[in-house]
Amino acid sequence: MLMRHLKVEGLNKKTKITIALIFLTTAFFAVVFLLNKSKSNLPSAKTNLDSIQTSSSKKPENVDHTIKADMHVHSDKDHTHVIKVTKDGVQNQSEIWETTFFNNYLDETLSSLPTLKDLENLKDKDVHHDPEFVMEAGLRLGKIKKQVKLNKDFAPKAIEFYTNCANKEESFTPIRGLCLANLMIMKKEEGVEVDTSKFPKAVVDLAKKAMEFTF
Amino acid sequence: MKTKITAAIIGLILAGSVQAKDHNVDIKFSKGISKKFRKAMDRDLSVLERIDFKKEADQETLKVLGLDSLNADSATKWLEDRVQVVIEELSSRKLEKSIKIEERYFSFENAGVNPNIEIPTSTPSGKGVTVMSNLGAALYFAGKSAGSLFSFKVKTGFMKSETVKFSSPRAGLIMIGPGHFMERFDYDKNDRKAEANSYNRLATFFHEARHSDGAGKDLGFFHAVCPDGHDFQGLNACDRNLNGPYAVGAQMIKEFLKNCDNCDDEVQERMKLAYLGSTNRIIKVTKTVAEIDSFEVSMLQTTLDMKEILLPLLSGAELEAAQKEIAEIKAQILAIAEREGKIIEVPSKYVDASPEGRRIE
Repeated sequence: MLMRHLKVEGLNKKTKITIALIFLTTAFFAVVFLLNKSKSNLPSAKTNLDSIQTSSSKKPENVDHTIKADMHVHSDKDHTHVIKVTKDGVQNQSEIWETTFFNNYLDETLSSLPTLKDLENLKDKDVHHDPEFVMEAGLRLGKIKKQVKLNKDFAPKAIEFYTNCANKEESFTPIRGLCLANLMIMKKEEGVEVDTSKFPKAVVDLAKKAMEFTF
Repeated sequence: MKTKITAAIIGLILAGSVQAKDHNVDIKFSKGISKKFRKAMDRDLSVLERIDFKKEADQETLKVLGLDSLNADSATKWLEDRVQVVIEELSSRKLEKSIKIEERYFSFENAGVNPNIEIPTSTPSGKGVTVMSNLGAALYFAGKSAGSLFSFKVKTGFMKSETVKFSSPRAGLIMIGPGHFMERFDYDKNDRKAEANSYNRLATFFHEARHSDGAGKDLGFFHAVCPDGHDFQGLNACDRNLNGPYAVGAQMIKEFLKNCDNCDDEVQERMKLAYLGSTNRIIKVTKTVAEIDSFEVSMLQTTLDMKEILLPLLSGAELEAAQKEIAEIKAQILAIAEREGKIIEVPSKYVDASPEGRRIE
C-alpha cells in the first residue's frame, strides 16, 4: 500500500525504499514515545517506597548529630562516613564527634600509621607515588584536623597525638613531618616553642615545608 | 538525492565519533582509552584551563617550572609543550610490535652523551598497577642508543591517527593506566568529581611531563636511587636535582592547594601530605667519596664496578643477592672515606631543563 502511494513519476526504486524506511523509522519512534507517555501516568514503585520511608524516619535537621557514649558507632571502609546507629535507626555523618570516639580515633590512627616495613611489600610500579596506606593515613589526619578545628576541647589530646606521631621512629617521614608541623602550630598558639633538635633533620625540614601553608 | 543521503549518513557517523570535551588543551588522546578515563581526563584539563591562580605563585614554583608567571594559560601551555599524545596502557610486547624504525642513522643531538641511569640496590617484588608513565623520553633514549629514529602510530579517532616520531624527549607520548583513576588515591572521597581529585591527577600529569625535558646527562630527568636512611632507600624513586619531576609535582600540588576554594580541612591535610611525600623524594645533598690513596678502596671499587656491570644480566634471587653485596661494598667504601675525612657533600642543583632535539611531524 505504501509503495502504491509512492507511485510518483520519476522516482526510482532506491529512492522509494529510502522514503519507506524513513516513514517506518518515524512510525517506530512515535510508537515508543506514546508507550513511554502512557507509562509515566502510573505511579512508580520507587515513588511509593520513598513516601513510605519518609513518613517513618525523622528529618536529619531535627536530630542532634553528636555521637554519645551509648550509641553504636562505626565508620565505613574508607572512613568517609561515621555512621551512628541509634534506637531510631541509622543516621548520617556527624559533624562533631563525641570525646570518647575522638580519643579512640586518635589511638587507632597512631597504631595504624604506616611503617617503613610496610614499604618493603610495595610492588615495582607502586614505589613512584605515595602508597595507598599513606593516602589512608592522610585521610585520618584530615579528619583529626577537622575535629580539632570544630572543637577546641580536643586540643590537648590532639597535641599528645601529634607528639607521639612525630616521635614514631618507624613511621613514614612525611607523616612524621606533618604531625610535627601540626604540633608546632598548636604549641605556638599556647606560646610554646617546640624543641626540634630531638627530631631527625628530614622530619624537621618537612615540617617547615608544611608550615609554609598559612592554613 | 543519492549524494545528499550519503553525505547525511557520513555526517551522522562522524558526529557519533566526535567526543564532546569542555577544553581547548592541545593534547591528543588515543581512541583506545576507555570513555570513562577519557571523560575524567577531559574534566581535569578543563579544570586546569579554568583555574584561577589568584594567590601569587611561589618563587620556587616559577624556578622549578621555568616560568615567569603561573596562570591557567602558562600552566596549560607548559603541559602542551611536553605532552603530545596520551595512550592507554599497553603491554611491553604490544608496544614493541607497534614501534617502527622511521629512519636509520638519524642525527641525534648530543650524540654519545647519555643520561646517568642509576641502578637500584633494591628491587620490589611484583609489578603493581600503572598510574602514568612518559614513554616519549624512554623511546627517544632507546632510539638514540640504537642510532635510529623510532615512531609510533596512535589512532585518535575515526579515520584519524597521529604518528609520534621520537626525535626529542618532547615527543611527549604518555601512557595512562587504571591507577591514575583509582578511587583509593582520591583526595576527596566524598565527591569523585571534586576539583581536588582533578588536582591530584594533574599533579601526576605535570610530574610525567617533566620527563619530556632535559638534554645530555640530564635527558629525561630520570629518577635517582634514594640514599641510605631514606624511606625508599635503594629504590629508583627519588630525584637528584631540585627541579625534577618530584619537585614539579610537589610545587603544582602546593599551588593547587593554595588556590583551592572547595578544599575542606580534610582534603587540605591530605594534599599537604601528598606535597610532603613528593618533596621528601628530592635529594638535596649527595655524599660522594673524594680520591683516596688506598689499596683497600681501589680493590673494593673494582669489585663494585664489576658487579654493577653484571647486574642487568641477573634476575630473581641472584639479583637480590648481588644488590645486597653492592650495597655492602658501597657502605664499606663510605665508612673508609668517612674515617679518612674524604667525604664530599655535593648539593643538588637546578638542572637546565631545555630539551634535546625538537618534535618533527
